[in-house]
Amino acid sequence: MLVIKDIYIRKLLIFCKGKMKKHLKAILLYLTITLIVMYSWFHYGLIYGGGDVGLPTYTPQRVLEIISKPWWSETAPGFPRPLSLAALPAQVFFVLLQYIGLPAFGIQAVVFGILLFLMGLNMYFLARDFLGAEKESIPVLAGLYYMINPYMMVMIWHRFAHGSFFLTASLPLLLLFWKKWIKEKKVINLLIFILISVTLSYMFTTIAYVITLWILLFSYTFFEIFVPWKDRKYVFIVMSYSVIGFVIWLLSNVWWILPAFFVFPALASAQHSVNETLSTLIAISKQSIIPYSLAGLNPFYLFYENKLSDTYMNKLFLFIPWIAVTFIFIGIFFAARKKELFFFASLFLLAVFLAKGMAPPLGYFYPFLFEKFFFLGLLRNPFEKIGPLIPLSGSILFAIGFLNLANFFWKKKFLLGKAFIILNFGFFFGIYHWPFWTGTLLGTLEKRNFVEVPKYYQQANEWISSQNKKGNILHLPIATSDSFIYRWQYGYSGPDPNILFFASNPSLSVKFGLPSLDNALSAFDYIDKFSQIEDKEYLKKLLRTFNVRFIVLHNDINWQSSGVQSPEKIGRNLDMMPFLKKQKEIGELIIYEIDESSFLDKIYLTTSFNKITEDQNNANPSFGFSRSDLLPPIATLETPLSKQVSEENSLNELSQIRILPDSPFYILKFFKEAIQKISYEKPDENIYLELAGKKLVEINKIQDKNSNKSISSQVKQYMLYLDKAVDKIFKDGLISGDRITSDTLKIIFGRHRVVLGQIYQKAKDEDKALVNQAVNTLKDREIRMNIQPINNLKTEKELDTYNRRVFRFSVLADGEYEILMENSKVIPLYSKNLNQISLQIDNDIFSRSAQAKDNLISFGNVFLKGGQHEISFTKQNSINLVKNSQDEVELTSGQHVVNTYEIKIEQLDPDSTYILSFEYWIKKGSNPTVKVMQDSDPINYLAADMLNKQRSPQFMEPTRLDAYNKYWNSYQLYISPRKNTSTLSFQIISIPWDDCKSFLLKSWLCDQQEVRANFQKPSTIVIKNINVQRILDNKLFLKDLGNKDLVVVNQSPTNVIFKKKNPLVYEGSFIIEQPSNLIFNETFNQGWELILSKDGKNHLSPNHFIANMYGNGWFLDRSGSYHFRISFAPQKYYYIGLSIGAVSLLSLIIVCLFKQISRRKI
Amino acid sequence: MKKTIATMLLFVVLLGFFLLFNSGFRLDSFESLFQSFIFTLLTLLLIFYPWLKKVFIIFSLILFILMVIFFILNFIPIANYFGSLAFGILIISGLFYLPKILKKGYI
Repeated sequence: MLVIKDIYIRKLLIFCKGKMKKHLKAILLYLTITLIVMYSWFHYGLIYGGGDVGLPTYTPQRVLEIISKPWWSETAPGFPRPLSLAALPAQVFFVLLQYIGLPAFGIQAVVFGILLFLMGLNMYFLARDFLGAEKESIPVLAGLYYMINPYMMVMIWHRFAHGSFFLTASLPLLLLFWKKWIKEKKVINLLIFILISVTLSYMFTTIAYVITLWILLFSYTFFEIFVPWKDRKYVFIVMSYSVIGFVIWLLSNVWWILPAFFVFPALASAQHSVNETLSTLIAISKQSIIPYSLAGLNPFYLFYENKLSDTYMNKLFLFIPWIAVTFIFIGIFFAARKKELFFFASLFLLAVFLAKGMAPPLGYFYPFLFEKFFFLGLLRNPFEKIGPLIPLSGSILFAIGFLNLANFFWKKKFLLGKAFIILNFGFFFGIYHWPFWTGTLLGTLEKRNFVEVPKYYQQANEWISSQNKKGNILHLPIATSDSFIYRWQYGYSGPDPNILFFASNPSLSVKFGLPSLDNALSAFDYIDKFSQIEDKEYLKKLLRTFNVRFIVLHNDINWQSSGVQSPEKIGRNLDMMPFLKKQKEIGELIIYEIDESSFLDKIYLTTSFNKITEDQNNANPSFGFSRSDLLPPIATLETPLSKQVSEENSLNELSQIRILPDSPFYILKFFKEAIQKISYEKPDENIYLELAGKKLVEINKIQDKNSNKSISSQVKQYMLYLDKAVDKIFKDGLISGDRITSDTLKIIFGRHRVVLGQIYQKAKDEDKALVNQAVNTLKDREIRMNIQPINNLKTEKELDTYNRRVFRFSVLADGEYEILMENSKVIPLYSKNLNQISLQIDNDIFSRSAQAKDNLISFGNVFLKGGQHEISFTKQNSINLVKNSQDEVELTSGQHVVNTYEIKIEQLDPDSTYILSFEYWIKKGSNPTVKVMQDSDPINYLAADMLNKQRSPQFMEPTRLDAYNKYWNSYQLYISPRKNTSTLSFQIISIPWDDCKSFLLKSWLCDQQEVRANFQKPSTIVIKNINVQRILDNKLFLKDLGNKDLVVVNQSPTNVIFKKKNPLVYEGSFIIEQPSNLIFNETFNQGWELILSKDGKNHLSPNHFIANMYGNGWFLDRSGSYHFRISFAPQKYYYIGLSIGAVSLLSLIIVCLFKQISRRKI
Repeated sequence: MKKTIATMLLFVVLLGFFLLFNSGFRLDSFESLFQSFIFTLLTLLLIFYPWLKKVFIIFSLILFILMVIFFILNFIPIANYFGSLAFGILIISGLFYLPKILKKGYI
């Protein structure tokens, strides 16, 4: 046995030696490039991170633990991420490198190096296979081009999406062995194909790359079948082998496909709508027009953002990529004449055609496909997803074109031609790709994406681990999305890395892009506003609901740029909470611990839980948890400031028609409508709304022409169109949260209302009922879309129909309710302290006085019957918030410096809208500029000049320059501050006069301060009547005062004894004496199953519902002693998939061995 | 007469096809309409005079050169117009090589 083994090894060595010798030139070239590039990128001894991927090579062991399950419980409160399973084989390799003892940057360097080397080498092998062994230089050059080209530099390396590294490295080899499989039909080729696909399956963490891979492979299969056409038998054979290959690929990858199949579609549809996908496609397609996609350029990074320096805007740098495209076209010319190479010519054109997305020509098949097949929405960025096929096909064409031209010049001994070739080679591979050689492509020219994680993270983790306690770690401030910006030595901007640093307990630090869950988590965005006295119980409840044990306060966060609350303010609040103990201060981190009596475990029993629904919570997430005794509105409506729909013009403002039903050309209208219906609609368009409007115009014209003519069929048609239009509005997601987002739609429906009224007036008696029905239908749809209140708005007392805020409540039972408004601090800001404010409650108008109560404003009680009710008030402006406002202020700038008048707002409420108004007179010079300064203005902490930190205000604009009126002008600004703002001031700035650009022909010289200074003169402005007012737009709530069924019983939940058997299985037991709810505080998902055992019998609990707005709950209606098991069902698909994958791979190996042995016997 | 009607019908069908895929039947962009019209005309010409495909490919290459010039001069919308027209012509003309490709496997 040993002898046989020895012989095989020796044979293998000889074989490798022979092969190596043949390919030595290529291997050496790619290896040298790889070593140079890796040294250039990593000689600083630092890792690169951030972007879309974070730090996958920082702690491979920890990443492996997290991604080895379809459900990530480590990112509390848990989230399904089945696609990450595909990263397992690569992650195991990273762990091996960690075990060898490589530091984090070493692991990254080795991985990047291998992938870069493989890109070149694999392309070399592919080109060699297609071209044959005699033309060695073409494959070598093809490999070089595949490693270094504009697409790879920007879209792969700079973009830093690891899935695309693996895809581009493996595509050439996958195509090579697929080709060998369907042509040579040897099982060994299929086996190698499968092994490559499984080993480098990291690429499938971006699921769209499955489509990219199979577009490539099926294109080749198609090519093999038809080019040239042989016979039907051949088609059958190739198709059979392709199907077998595809099925075996599916089976061997089923371990990540199966869990993804069961979890991903529901998740994707919850996270993205067709409308959103199309909007992205349209926006992206503008960046992938033919001039960009043909050359593989991404204008966003290269030209708009100048990420790799503004050199790329230089004319020479704009020209260089076209050198490569020229060679590719020459390559196409040669390849089109050879059977073997024709595939690459056609693939290049196909890749460009698909990667350009919706851009012309002929790009409109994309929206049709996206609407019909939701899963194709994965390709909403075609240039990124299908784009890798451009360099793949372009490499061989480039090499053919380049070398054919070079041969031509060398043969003709044409010196200029030779110089042209050498120069182009140097320009393209050297100068154009200098960020690739220097490493500045990983980040920006000014700042590479280096990451150095501060040591105190490790110490904090060690301390928390040493406590050995259950519960989640809440990281504050909590992210507004899934990423953060830190003020570390080299900075960090990317996915939140806390999950990697804190290994002992799950980390709750980010939002997930799932509206329901994010809405629940956004309650933490209000922590800095919680009052120590009034809200402490609410905060405790919130922490218990999310199973929080520790809080880690990150003072090292760039909170302004991250758009989160100030850690300092959160810290002040946390310090005062009696149930929290400040346990440790480590570096920039402060660790708090919730006391044992306040901690609530992950699984517990309760008779009551938070019943607030997702819709209700839209009103204010913090109330969802903290004030469960309050009933939030189910919808909020706002009426415009003034009349927006004119009675006289409404008809003319609808789309007009020329042809009436009695015209012989009326049939053409049907034809036009048919075309309009099949034509593409932009996401913000609604053809049925337009057709409904036209129908109203048509009815009106018919009535004007012949008042006796029946209009019933047209009215029916209108109602049909109206329903379709409303359905589309909902489908497009234009009703976001609790309100319609488009003011234009409100106006259009308003016009319909007016015109329908006019039609009703003119209608014959027999048509009146139908028109009335149409009016009611319209009103009903408007109520459904939250455009119209249910009750007509009255104009009594101070109330007007305009500038009104209407709150719609759903009251469950008859009873006495207290009307409450949020934020009692605003009472003194309004005239008469909000006494005698007029409220319209359904159809009645009441005058109510405000009374501060528990941080809320009470407007007394009202008796309401079960059902929907509306309460509204007119939005009024507060008194002037500007103290010491002088009559007139004259502001003169210096010759070179600005002069600023600052208006500070005290006791700012960031959830409000403020109006700044003043009058100004430009005595001389420039018109004043208005700037809004907030403490939340993002600051660039890494700016070179630390004294003059770059701040980005939310608003900074010059006032309007009235060319006619040179005296007093008025100015008004409405602004809603950022949610994380606590101090705000308005600045009115007088800027020096500067007419540099009107004097100098070379206007760019004016960008230089020393030049500009020569043209500057002082400006003088006068301002008066400065007013800052707050708009009363506070939310209303109802509090049930009598109905005991609705009042939450504050019964303490009972902890349940349970054990975490494995990351996704919990087992335990409990005894209940009355019907109860078992609450499991992990994100709600249908995949979570509760199996109850009672008296030796197992049964699946069917009453699964959302508890606490995000978690899982099961209603248990029978008392008794239970044993339970909660598990995540899709996990079993992973195990089934692993078994299927292993069996199919093993079977393939056995078949392969069997074939080899039988061949040897023959 | 029959041939004229057939040609007219073919023109309408092709125009519909190109309008659908080039502008989603939206008639609000002149550039897109013009492009669809050019593609239709070109396809029609190629159906009746297939030998023109080489001429059109050369024409598309000239348009590509114009695209590059405008691109370097930073007139991106014009470059896009020439580029997309050129690419469309190239694809359409290329498709007329299909019979030869299917027969021989190359051009």
